[in-house]
This record gives sequence, structure tokens and C-alpha cells, in this order.
Amino acid sequence: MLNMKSTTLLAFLLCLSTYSASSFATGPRVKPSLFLDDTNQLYTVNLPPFINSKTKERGLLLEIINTVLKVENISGTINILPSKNMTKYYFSQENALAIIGHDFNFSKKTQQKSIFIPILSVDEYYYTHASVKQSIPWQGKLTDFKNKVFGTIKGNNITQYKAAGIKIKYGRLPTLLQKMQQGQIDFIKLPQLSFNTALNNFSAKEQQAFIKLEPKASATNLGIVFNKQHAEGNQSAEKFKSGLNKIITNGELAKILQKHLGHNVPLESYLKYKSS
Amino acid sequence: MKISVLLLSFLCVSCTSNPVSNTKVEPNTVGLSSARLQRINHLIDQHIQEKKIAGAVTLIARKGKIAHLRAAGLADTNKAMQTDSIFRIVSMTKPITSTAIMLLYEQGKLLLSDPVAKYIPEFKNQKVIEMLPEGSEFPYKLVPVKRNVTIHDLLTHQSGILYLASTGWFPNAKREQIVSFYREAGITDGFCRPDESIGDMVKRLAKLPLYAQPGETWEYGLSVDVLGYLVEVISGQKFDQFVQAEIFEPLKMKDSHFYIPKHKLSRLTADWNSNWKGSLERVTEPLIDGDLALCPNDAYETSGKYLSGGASVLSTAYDYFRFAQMFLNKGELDGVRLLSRKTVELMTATNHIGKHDATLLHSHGWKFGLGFAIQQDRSHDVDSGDKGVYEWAGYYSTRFSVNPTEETITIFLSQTSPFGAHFSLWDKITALSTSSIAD
Repeated sequence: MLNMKSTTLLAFLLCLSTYSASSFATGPRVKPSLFLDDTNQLYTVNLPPFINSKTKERGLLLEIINTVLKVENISGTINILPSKNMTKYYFSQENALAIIGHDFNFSKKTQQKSIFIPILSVDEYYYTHASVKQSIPWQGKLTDFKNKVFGTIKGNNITQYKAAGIKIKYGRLPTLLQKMQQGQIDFIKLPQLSFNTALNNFSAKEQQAFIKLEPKASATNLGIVFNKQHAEGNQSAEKFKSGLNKIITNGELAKILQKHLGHNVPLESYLKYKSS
Repeated sequence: MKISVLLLSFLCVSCTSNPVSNTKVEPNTVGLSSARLQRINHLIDQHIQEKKIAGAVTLIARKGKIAHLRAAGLADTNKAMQTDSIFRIVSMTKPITSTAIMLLYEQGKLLLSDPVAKYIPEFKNQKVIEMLPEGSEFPYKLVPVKRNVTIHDLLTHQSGILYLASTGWFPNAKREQIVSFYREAGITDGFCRPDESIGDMVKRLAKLPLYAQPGETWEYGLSVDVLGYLVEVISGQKFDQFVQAEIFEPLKMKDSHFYIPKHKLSRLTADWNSNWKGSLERVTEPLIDGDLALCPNDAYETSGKYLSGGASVLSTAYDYFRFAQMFLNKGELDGVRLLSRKTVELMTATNHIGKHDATLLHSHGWKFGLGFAIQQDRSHDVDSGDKGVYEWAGYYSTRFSVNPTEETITIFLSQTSPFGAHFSLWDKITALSTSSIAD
């Protein structure tokens, strides 16, 4: 009888030890931690075909960056945000590991915190539209655009435009193109490849109404900026450079570029990074 | 014996409710006063004569019968208003979208407590904005949500998602900052029809900060547009196709559309800009007022991608009456059960937004259910006739009101901008509709 009682007690104690206190606790049904991940965060905004949330590889530049991160085993999640302002916020205020893109328009303070690694160099042009009433007398000096309306993405550097007496209107690229069609914006500036990609949304007839202005406006460097203030910022930047060198040397970068740009493009003209 | 059975059968048939139709009955047969309903005619005609509005359709129904259905004034330049004229009902789309969500709820495909992120991953890891003191390096900081936005938050406008136009209604620095993000991200209020899918817009919106912690605010905004996309994700159908198959067809709402069919274009009413002092002009261009952008002429597009759950539907007074009557009948119309009685009770319960009041169109004493404002008491200054009355409106001055106690439905459709001017007219219509009850 006593044995029987002892067995029951033992079984009861075993049960208790199996079910810890937390097993009985009720957790909140919806808690953010269900969705949070612990990896480093990298931020960017869309710039097809270089950064494109709608494609599997997420664009040429992100495919290169993801390849390097993988090669060097740098942990990080790339978030494509709809706001450049937010990417800068995360970089300077929330210690993001890096941000990706171009024309970051950082303050001096933020520049001091950053390590920019240029990856691609792309030509940028000014574009206008047949609906713009007066012709644009672009000959290479920004003052040629005096009193015209320049359409750009919020967060880009507009200091020189303002200094040249140019008016500014902001918008996303599709909106800017639409406003240019409606004659509300006189000109925009874009990497040629991005402009060509954006034009795909228009009919062949509408495409012809957009006009590329020669000479080219500038060349811009697309790349990644590491955050020195992040605990892994400096180290990740060094590893990233090393990884970039590796995929240049082993031909993987060339393959990615050819996949996106075709086999007939001169790759060296796009490739900005020079191994040190 | 046979005769008795036959008689009983006849009696049974007469016991069941007749199908709802657009045939008017004598008001006194449903306990309404003809003479008092005439006052609505005078009120509308007076507003037309004074060129405050160009025209309107009004509908009063009781006990499932239409006692008043009247078209007055102009539908367009040189075109008289008809009772079957088609209107941009804008935010009166929202109860339709909420109904679509509740259909999926009844099918066990979602729970109101589900985080939206379960279906739309872009809603993971959302942030809430907090403004910092002037002179700070950044004007704001972003803090993690205490809990994720749920479907219930979206249905009740407690998600922290705003309308851009709200900067004009309740200006403050935090709202300005959120709307600045919206502008940068190309988010619009859905009163125009951009050339993109609603999913594209919602995915961008999800990555922008919220105005307040979920559940801690009542802010009228784009939440119902998110619900429209949620219907697409969960049902696997385009939102307009789902609504057509699951709501418009069963309820025989034959003139309700997201994009108007070509052969009905002539029935679409024009929008009019009124200063409410005798200057009335047909709107031909988009109306831009600060962050508010209205494109009434987008409604003439016969096809497009953008399907706003908050604003896209075009409809008639009779169609919307059928929709409202389904609610009044606790989920059923003409033998078709769309929603269960319990779901309608849930949608029209007054305690969904806790301590908040739905003051946007009404006053204190109004709460918000799952798709419409609900009168909670009769001790405040905006009164629609009873506790439990539920109603909502559309930005081009359209309104509907359902009184479950008296079994009445009141609908007023005009197309007049700006929206705010018509408040007194609507309040008078509900007062006249309610006071025409004569039993």
C-alpha cells in the first residue's frame, strides 16, 4: 500500500518537473517578438534595375551585395523601404549596419560615421518631355536650367539646384514621370538604366515623348555605406571589400553583371570598385 | 382537408417577407407620414434652388419597403437626376469591404485577432513615430510596436494608419511627419486612381511608421484599403472580383462597380464644387487642397488596376439600400443569407473602440463598429434618432443611416465638394426622416 502511494507521488513529482512553470503561463497572442529577428539590418530604397523589390534577386546591386555578404559570412537582412528619409534615420539614429544606394546626402556628422564602398559607376542624364512647353537649353551648366522645375526623390541632394535658381518638386519616380508628362515638372535626373527600366511602364508611343538631354549630367557611384558606430561596422566593411575582391577575381561579379546587363556591355565601365 | 392545406400554404406564403424591390409603397403602410416625408423634398429643392447642390437622390425605407425614392435637380450639365443615377460613394465603400472581411471570418479563413503580418509580411516589425524636441538631430524617433496591428484594428480604425488629408483636419507636427513619409512613398488616399495595384501601395504603407501604438488611437485612415488587399491575399481573388461574386451578385446590387461599365457611363453623375453660397461649378480637374487630392473624373475610367477598399465603389441609392437592408435584416436579403445574425450583431456592437469616440463625422456619444459609426447614447448634440443607429458617409457628400429599432434606412446621395459643407443638410435629413415615423 505504501509502495503504491510512493509510486503515485513519484509519478506526480515527475509530472511537475516535466511541466515547467512557463508551460502553464499564457503568453500574449500577438507579440512583436514573434516577428523580430536578431540579424544586422541594412536599409535601402528601390532604384530599378539596381535595387528592385519586385524581382527575385532584388536587382543588380543587391544581388552583388548579397553575394558578397554570403561569401564573407556577414549576417544581415536588407530592407527595401519606401522612404529615403527613413533609411538615413536607421543609419544615423538606430545603428543600422549599412545603407545601400547612391546620393546619400549625409550631414557632415553622419559622413564621419560612414565608410562608403562604391561598387558600380553609372552615367546619369537629365530627361525632359515633349509636353514641356519651352525647350531646355542644357549645355552642361546647371544654370542652364534656371527657373525650371526639377523633379527629384526626397532625400537627394538639391543644394546645387537651389543655388542655380532651379525650383524643386518631390515625388516617387512614377509620379515624377507622370508629372513631367503633364508639364508640371520640366526635367529629372536619373541613371540611364533606371530611366530605361521606368519607361517600360509606358506605351511605345508615350516612350518617344521623353527626351534624353546630352551631354550626360554626371556619373554616380552606387554602393554600400557601413556604419562605423555599429559594433561590427568597421570589421564588416573590411570583410565586404575582401569579399568584393574575391567575386571580382573569380568572375562571379562579371556573371552577375552580364546576367542583368547583357553580354555586350563593357563591364569595366560599370565596375567602380578597385581592389586596393 | 385539401382546401385547408391549400389555405395554410397561402397563409404561409403571405407570412414570408416579400422580396425587396424598388417599387415605392404608400408611406402610411409602413408607419411613415407622407406629409412629413414631403419636408425632405422641400429641403432638397431649397438647396438646389439656392445652388448649394446640383441635385440629389434621397431614399427612405421602413420595414423593408421603400416609402420615399426621389431624384431632384441635375445629374450633369443639362441632364436631370434620375433615381438610378450612379454616384461615387467613396467611403461608403468601407462597410462593403468590412463585410467582405467578415465573410472570410465566417468561413474560418481569418480571425479578427490575427496580426495583419500573418498575411502581409511587410507588416512585420512595424514602428511607431515619436516626435523629439525641436533642435534634435532628427525630429523624430521610431519605436517598436507594443503589439502588432490586427485585423480588428483595421476594421475599427485603431491601427495608427492615417489619411494624408488628415493634416487638414487635425494638424500637428507628428501627423505632418507621417504624411511627409506617405508623400515620399507615393501613398495616396485612394480618392484618385493611381496606375498601380492596391497591393503595391499597401506593401509600401506597411513599411512606414504608425501614428500611434495599435489600439491606442482612433484615427480614420487607409486601414480599410489594407483590408481590401487582405481580401485579395486571403481569398486568392482580385478584390473587385471577390466583392462582385460574394456581395454584389447575391444581394443583386446590379449597379455597383469598382470601374463603371461603358454602357452605364451616361448614368454617372458629375461632381460639383459648391461654396454653399450659390456658386456651383461642375468639377473638371482634380481638386487639390493641401494633402487632400480628389479626382472625381477618374470615376469615368472603365478599367484600371487600383481597387481601393476605402473609396472605389460606384453605386446607386437602390443598390445601397439593398446592402443596408441586408444589415437591417441581420444578414439576410430576399432569402439569401450573406452574414449570420451573430456577425451582424458583432459588427454593430458599440464597444469596439473602448474609450475613444468616433467624432470625425458625428460627436461624442458615437462609437465605431466594424465598418460604421454607431450612436451610443442620446445625450450628445448629433442625434440620428436612436441608440444603435449606424451610418457612414462618402467624400462627395453621400450618406446612409440604418435605424435597427425603427427598421428605417435613410440614404442621401449627391456629388458635392467640399464634403464638410453638407453636414447640416445631412443632419436635417436624418431629423426629417426620423420625425416622419408616425406609428
